[in-house]
Amino acid sequence: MKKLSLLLLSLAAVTGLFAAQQDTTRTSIYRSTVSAMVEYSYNKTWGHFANVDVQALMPLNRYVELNVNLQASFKNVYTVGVTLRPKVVLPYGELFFDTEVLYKAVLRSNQMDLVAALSLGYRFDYASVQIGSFARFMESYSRDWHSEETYQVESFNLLYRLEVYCRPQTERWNIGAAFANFDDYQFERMWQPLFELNGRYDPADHWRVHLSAQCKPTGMFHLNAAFYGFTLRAGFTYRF
Amino acid sequence: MLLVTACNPNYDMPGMFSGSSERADKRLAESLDYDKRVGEIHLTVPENYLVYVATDTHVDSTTHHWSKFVNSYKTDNNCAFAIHLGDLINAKNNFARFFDAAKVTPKGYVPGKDTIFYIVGNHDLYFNQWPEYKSYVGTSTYWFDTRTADGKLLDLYICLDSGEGTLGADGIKWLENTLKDKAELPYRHRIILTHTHMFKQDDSQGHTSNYSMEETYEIAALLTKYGVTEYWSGHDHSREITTYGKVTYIVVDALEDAVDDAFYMIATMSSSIQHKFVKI
Repeated sequence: MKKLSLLLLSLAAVTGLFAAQQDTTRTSIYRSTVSAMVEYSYNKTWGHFANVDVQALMPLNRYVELNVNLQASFKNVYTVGVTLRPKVVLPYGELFFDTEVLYKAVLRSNQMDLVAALSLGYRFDYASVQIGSFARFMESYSRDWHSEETYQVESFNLLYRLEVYCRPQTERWNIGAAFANFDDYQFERMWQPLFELNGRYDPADHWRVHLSAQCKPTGMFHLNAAFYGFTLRAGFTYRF
Repeated sequence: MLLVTACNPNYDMPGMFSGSSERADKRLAESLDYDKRVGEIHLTVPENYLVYVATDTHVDSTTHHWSKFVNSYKTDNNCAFAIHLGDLINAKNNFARFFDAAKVTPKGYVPGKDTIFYIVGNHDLYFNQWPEYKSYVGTSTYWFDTRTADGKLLDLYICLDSGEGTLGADGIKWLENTLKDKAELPYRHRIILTHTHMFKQDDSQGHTSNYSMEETYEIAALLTKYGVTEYWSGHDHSREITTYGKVTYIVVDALEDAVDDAFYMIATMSSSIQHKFVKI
């Protein structure tokens, strides 16, 4: 399974770089991008740690884009996510249909977590909404763990994301706030929301800088709610 | 909808955003302090014995199912002790009613067969009820074991406070240290007793929240690493038995009066563990 993880990570990296090289019309909003981020995180289970993220976005054509997200965590957790996103431009806004696979190699605890998600979204200048479902498959890497049932399947989980922006997407800077149970590197169970505040600024045509803060509470629904963790993320995007 | 919910005195609405009871690490510190004063608990039992397990009684204005359970375990000569896996009560001002029902001596009572261990659940923490819970139970995190009369170690039981959806930073360390300390001891079974379920494979996953994924990975790895046999929980109100990493995860049905199909579990502890679910 570790070999499979490395293979998947390598494939995703190659795909991502390939995607990032696909130059589309520079005047179009459909531009390939590559992003690099660093994260500082804390949660009550793993304590303090850092992550490094790489993302690539490639519009395959005007109607479909491919997104590849990679994350390496100093807690010995590695994540790769691939999203194929058909989309339709409407007179006002855009409808998109995400098909995503997210693979997380939790090497620190000899487990893998594979998520397959389908969702429908609509975004326009000031907001984006997305709803769908995902299935989770968890398994242990250790062969000596294996019994007849060494895996877990959670076949249906609700997926949701609501994001609002203070300015239209075409502006050089923007600030947004999001409420969701997933992001580019994790899918949480439906009652485990994530709260995010993010901002971006385009200092030049090809460059964009990002800054975001995400808070993860625990037990917000049906448990004694408390703070669980946070992530601060900073990075940049190069737009081809 | 929120307005209607907020008007219901059984819902701790502010607690939905920030729980009113002490945080997990503070409860752990207070519990360990209590555990130290009380000392270690070693129960003398026969080699094969029964454990009666109830959960989610959510006692409110009535105690019908809870009283039937109390009557059952106190009159079973083979029952070594009983366990309540949390959510003793539903909302405020019910602990007295719950514990009064627990004290009843039923007809046919077997003297000395009234030992019961309690685990804290989220409903026991709502409305800042931790101090009241503590005044009755004393602790939310502890361990005890069973031994034969000649001192042979049988089974280890570790009770965890998961009413917050996390054991807390210190709680995870306490769990690991406790499992590590006892890793070399020749226990027959190592059992985790807690309120919140780890996994839920059926569609009721949407029904109740549990741990974050990070905590799920971490606890699962710890339990497998240190040879935990079973993880008994409630919270979800619907039974599920799954195995992951050689650990059997059991969600026991709710025993609350409002449920038509209320069950409790009887575990037969021997070289293996047999589970029987009894309808009230």
